[in-house]
Amino acid sequence: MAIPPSDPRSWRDLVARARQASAPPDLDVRPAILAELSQAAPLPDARSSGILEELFVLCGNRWMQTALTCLALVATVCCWRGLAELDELAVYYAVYP
Amino acid sequence: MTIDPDLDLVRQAQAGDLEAFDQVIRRHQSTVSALLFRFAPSRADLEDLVQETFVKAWHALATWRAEKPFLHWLKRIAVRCGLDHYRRRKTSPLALALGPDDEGRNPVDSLPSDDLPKDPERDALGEAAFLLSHLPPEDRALLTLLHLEQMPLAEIAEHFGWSRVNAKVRAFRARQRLKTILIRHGYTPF
Repeated sequence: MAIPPSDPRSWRDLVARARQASAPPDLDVRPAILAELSQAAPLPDARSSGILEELFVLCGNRWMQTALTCLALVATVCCWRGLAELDELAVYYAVYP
Repeated sequence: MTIDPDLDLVRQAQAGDLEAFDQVIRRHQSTVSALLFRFAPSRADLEDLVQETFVKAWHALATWRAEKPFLHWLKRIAVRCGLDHYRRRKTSPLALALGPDDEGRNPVDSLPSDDLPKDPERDALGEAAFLLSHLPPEDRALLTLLHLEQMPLAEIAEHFGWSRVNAKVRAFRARQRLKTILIRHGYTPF
């Protein structure tokens, strides 16, 4: 159904008209895709989802990223405190050798 | 739970059956083309993008899990290809500097076009694409899907890997930016 252009410079109308546009119906890229895939690409192996790949997928999860970030923060704080302790010990041994 | 109608074909394709993948392409080519047409109204770009989507899908087939419909997964790849297309094809600084001419037409329109016949809807899509091209690629992709494809924000967020809140904030900011552009080009904003 055609939308009457009430205001030719209205974004709403422009978008409504733009939505009516449709992709060329005769578009067929199958031959090109199949030619490309059969020429160069190695076939995917569904059974080759090794541990590295699983780990990669796992790292893509948001909760995993959050957990790793928290872990990194805790590790940083621990290192910081550990260094402070070492510093204190160094002072202690300097004062009481 | 409904069974994915593509399950059998995709399983065969995952095992390396190119003919099964051909069936998958045949089944979903029009859907992917319709979606990517919003990103690339020119036929040459559209063909490249559709091809890129299916080639990427083939290489990533092993990562598809049957928990989500195959078409949803495929659309996600297509949307990301669209975003990459925007990142590659930013509007030329010359076009941005020139802006619309006296009749309000953008300079991109005067460039040699592809072999598609002219029609008002396609012109409108080209004009909308030109106005959106002033935005950063992520905003442009977001508003393309939201305004031109009328895709729900939750689905857009899922495709781009954003949280829903993040998508809402991005959409709000993108609209604000677009508003400025529309006013500059003599359009009444939403």
